[in-house]
Amino acid sequence: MGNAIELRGLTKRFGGTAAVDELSLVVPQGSFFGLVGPNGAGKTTTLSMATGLLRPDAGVALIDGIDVWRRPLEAKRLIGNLADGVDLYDRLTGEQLITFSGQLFGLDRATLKERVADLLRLLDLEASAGRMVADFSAGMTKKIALAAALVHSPRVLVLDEPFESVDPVSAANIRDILDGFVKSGGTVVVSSHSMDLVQRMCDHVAIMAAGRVLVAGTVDEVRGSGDLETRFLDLVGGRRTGESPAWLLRS
Amino acid sequence: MVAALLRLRFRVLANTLGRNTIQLVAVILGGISTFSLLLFVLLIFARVSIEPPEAIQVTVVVGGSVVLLGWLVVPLMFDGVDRTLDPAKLSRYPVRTSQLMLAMFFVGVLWVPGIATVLAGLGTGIAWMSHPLSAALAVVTGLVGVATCVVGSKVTTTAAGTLLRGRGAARLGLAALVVVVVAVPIAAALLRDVPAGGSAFFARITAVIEALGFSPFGAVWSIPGRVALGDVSGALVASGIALVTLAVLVILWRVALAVSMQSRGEGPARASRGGRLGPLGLLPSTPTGAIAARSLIYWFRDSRLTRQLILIPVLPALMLMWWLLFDIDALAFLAGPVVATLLPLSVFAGLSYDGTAFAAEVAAGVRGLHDRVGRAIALLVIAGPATAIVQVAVAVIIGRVGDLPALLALALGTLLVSVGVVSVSSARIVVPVARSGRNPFSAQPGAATVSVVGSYVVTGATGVLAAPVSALAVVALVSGIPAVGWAALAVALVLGSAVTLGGVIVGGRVLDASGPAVLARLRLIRA
Repeated sequence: MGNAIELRGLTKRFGGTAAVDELSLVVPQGSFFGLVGPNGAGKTTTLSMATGLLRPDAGVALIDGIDVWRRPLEAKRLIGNLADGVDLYDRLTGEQLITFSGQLFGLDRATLKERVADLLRLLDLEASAGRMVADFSAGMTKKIALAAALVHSPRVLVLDEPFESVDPVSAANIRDILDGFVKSGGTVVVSSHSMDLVQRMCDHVAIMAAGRVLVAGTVDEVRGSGDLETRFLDLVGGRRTGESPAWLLRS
Repeated sequence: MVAALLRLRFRVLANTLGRNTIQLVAVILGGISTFSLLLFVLLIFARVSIEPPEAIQVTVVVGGSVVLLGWLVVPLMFDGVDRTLDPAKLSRYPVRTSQLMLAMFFVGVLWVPGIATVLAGLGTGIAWMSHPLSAALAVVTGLVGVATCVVGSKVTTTAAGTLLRGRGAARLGLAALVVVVVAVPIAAALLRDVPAGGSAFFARITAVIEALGFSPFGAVWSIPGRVALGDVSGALVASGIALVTLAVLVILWRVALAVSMQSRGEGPARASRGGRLGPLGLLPSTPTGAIAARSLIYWFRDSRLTRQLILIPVLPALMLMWWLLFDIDALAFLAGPVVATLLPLSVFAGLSYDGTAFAAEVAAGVRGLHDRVGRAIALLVIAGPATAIVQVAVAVIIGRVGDLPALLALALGTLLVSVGVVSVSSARIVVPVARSGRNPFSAQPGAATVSVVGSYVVTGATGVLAAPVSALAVVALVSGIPAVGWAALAVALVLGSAVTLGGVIVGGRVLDASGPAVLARLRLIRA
């Protein structure tokens, strides 16, 4: 089996500091891959460079062996991208937004109509399909962004913080969709802060900090005998011991 | 509290400018041009001070009224109002509305346009140098006048912002406002038929200035002059009008603030099933079709763009009013070209309005050409009919239907050329604008300068490229030969289409090369 994503020596500097520093990472085809790291580790920057949103200063990003920055149009057809920290065209209604995304990939009207209806049903958004996305709650916005990422039936899903502010029921539904996607041969990459979720959901994981990958492999390899959270805290460090300041303690 | 709010505002300002060199340069350039203008105004005041009081009075009253009108209207047309002290952001702190209003007032005064206006207001004292009592009064009335300017601009931006952000019923209010603005010139047209004896032109001008002195715009500026001319009762009446104006504006501002605070927050979670795709269901299901449809939807749903549509009826109405006052046909038939320039001009940095949502296009690997064609189609679908209708209506009103080919050549040629120019400029230029859903009249410091400088460049390029069309049209209008008019129209359509096509192709290439870089810059602005 080939690699769904292969990153070699990716580097991005903002001003003087390297947000991502010669990062290399391999995501095998058909894997459910978790990318975890503390705030500011460079997860979003890495995923932006891997999906063709942010041009790297150096390094190569391959999707199914296609160079994202040399043959962007072909590579981007394979990717379903839920980017973090970008807005949506939120003056469109939910239904219009998914349709718009599908049309950007050139889907014909009949296919699109069926897929939009399916996605709205799967993500429990049917009742709000005609509302403007600007009026959606944070969780609903995440779900509609996910629907927009799925509509062109990509081979590789790259989801930056897909579960942030999503309610437990919707989160479980989204997990079912992603599980089904992986079982059918697709590849999913999620970034998350929730170790618990990654441990339960993913089969592969990479822990990154300060723009580098500290460890990567199957979840069982990475966590060893303990759980993922313990391993993460050991690797990343930064735990504080001691009590809160006196003025914050009520009793 | 007010001092703390002011410190906060200037801290934010310093941090923003420290982070963004281009913005800092824009602020400095804006400051230099504003203060050059101020110097010019003060020189005029000094020059006029040796003239008879009647002449001084006309200068001060007309100048003051224009400045006040400017404060009310200009922020609606350009991005330029600072909203660091947005009530929404401050709602979690214990701040009274009156403290907030006071702080917002001083923020309005303590920035380039505010300081310049204060100095110009005090400068009216220079104009009255040879009348000591009036000069002393002018210092006081100048400050009252500046206060009226600042409070007035707060009223118009808060009210218009609330109206545009609202949906449904609020739009009706806006429509009503537009109707009123359009109705004014019609009323003026009726007045025009009142026979004026002797030199009709100067009689009309004198009457206008006389009326201005007792209007809310001019009353405050007319007080020192009335005293100098010995018109004590007139001075008292004008003082009354000035104070009532300021008081009414303060009350209106308070009401507008209260309404804007209530209309915020989450709307009712109204269920609304789909099935209405709008333009997305009508245009072809391709990247170009999708982008054209989305742009069309945005022209009507995004308040930052919708406010530009208000200009379509308002500007021609104002130009017709000037035509009535001065009887120069050129003022009227420039209405079409003005609309044809301003609508494309409002998207000369169009990707700024997309913001980071533009990532959807980058992620889908949309070709630059498809993006440019889609946006150009949306622009032409709106601006094409608007321009044509305005120009035909103007031709009918001023009674020059025979010159219609030349007039349409002027308008449509300008439109097609502008669309081509803007297709290139907006592929590259990104300016800080208010984010979608915020008050559309809020902006970053310096953004006004970037918009103004950008506007000059884009307008200049349009003017140069459209020169052959304009020249032919002018010849046709002056000579009145129909064949020349038709030739101008043909040249306008052929040359204009060529420029649009060229602009779209070049813009597409630029966007292909710079798409991710533009997105990175949009992210930087958003953060």
